[in-house]
Amino acid sequence: MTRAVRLIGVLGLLAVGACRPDTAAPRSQSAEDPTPTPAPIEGESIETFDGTFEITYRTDPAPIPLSELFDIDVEVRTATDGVPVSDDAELAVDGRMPHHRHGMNTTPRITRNGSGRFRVEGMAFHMSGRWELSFDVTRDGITERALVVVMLE
Amino acid sequence: MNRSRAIIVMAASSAAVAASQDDAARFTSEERRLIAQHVAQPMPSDPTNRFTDDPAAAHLGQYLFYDTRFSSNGEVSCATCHDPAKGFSDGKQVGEGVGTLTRHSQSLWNAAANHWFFWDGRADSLWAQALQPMEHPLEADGSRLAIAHAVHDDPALRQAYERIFGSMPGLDDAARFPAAGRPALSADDESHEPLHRAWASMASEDQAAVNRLFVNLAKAIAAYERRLVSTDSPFDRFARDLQQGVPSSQLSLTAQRGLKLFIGRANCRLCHAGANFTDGEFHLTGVPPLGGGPLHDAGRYDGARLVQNDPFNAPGPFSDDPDGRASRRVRFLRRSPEQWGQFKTPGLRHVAESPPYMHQGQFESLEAVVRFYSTLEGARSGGHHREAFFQPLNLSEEEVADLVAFLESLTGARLPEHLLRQPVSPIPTDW
Repeated sequence: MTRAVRLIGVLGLLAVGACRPDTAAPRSQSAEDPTPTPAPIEGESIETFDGTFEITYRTDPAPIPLSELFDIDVEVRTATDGVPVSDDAELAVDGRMPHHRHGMNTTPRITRNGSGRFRVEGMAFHMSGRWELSFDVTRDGITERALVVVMLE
Repeated sequence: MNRSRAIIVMAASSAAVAASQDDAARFTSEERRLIAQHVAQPMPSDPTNRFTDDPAAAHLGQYLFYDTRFSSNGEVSCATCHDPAKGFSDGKQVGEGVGTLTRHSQSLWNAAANHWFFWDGRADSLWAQALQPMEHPLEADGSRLAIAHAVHDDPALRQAYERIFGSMPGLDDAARFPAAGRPALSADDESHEPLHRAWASMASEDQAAVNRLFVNLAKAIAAYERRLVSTDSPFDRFARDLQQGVPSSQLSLTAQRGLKLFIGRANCRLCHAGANFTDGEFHLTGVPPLGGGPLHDAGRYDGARLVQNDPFNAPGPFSDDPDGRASRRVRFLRRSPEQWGQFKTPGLRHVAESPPYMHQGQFESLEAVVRFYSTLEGARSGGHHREAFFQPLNLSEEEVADLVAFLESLTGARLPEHLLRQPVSPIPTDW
């Protein structure tokens, strides 16, 4: 299976002096904050089309199975500084087969799972062929999309 | 690649080797990869039915499957519409139980492999499906109370039931358990109101006990149906030979060409995918309805709503796996207008045994089916909803014959006779 993946230009970020916090280090926890920070996602990274957001995602299971439910862990950060988005950003995820002009037969459920983190449950790609997996991030009334092509063969 | 080339050299140098046996060279590596996806697999488990592999339950289920006593006229059993002599269908366009139905009776070959049941997928397990025809006014037209009493009052049935499922509820008490009754169905007419009233008069814990009994009988029937598995088809033998690089005569040349079309330019594999030749999902093929006119059967659009509301579904209280995979499929199921008019892709194993074809038996032969996909003549559009990937295939006469020959190669071994009739007793002889 091949996927079209758009990687962050890390060298480009360094060139403009972007500062990325070390997301591997858990933030300190106080007595009032019992929620543990989820571990960083090890997955594919892509950028939204206008470059505002960086999205890292990992499917469960991986690779995406044919005609079985799968889930996705997603982390959304602002591309310029790598800071996870806060709760004012919404995420929508969808899968479509544009050549067949249809989408999925499931309605996934998305829940927040920490800063800039989302859990998408109930995806299913029910036919083999070319799927487009889209991540739509909406903040301040503006939506940007990142797209991954998934070939199920 | 090198091995293919070597075989070609051998064939050229050996006059005795017929071209029809030179199979490794006739299929590309990509074609062989696609063929391997269709090789027979074991039936998946059904955790929602804890009796699914219980031999005693399967034996009782077989006994019930062929028994006409539970129908209102004493003449209809599951086998009426699912006749082993007719590929577990009935040779008719639409089913005929006590009344005449609106859709074709589906074959039960490899039924246990499905995720969704009925043409519209309104049931999500083999046992949840089995419940519905028992009470449908046009099928067996029974009621769960009457069925419960019939099992209770037959000593052999009662014994068989209790050895598997435990004691029956106190059905002798006619005040608590009326002779007949069930909840209302949308297909009911006024004549069934006494059944609704009788059911409504019961205490809720007594209703629950009868529901549990009813479900147990259906789980037994499902355990039997799970045994109706196709094995040893000529296609599977050919695929195995191909995988091993062995020359094969298991498929005729015409069937081999049909196989190439099926996985190639005819694109049948897009929907008729995998080991059972179905993706288990729903598509709008635009096959014209019986009697002509526009499409009028909502199909999956209704079925998606019905399965989510079915008290006997996988997330529900009668399921033995309410948090499992089948349950998740129902809980995440989408209902959308796109689904209007869609019907489930049937599996194709043993398809040659059960004409006519499509959801109302519109096509009398496999050749007629293939010609429909070749020309799309008469296909109805569901507004803008017909599958966008359907284009006329414009098959030649030879190609039509090739595809039919391939489909015929999906018929495997006959099942043992003792699986295809009512056992002498609902109690297995080795008890």
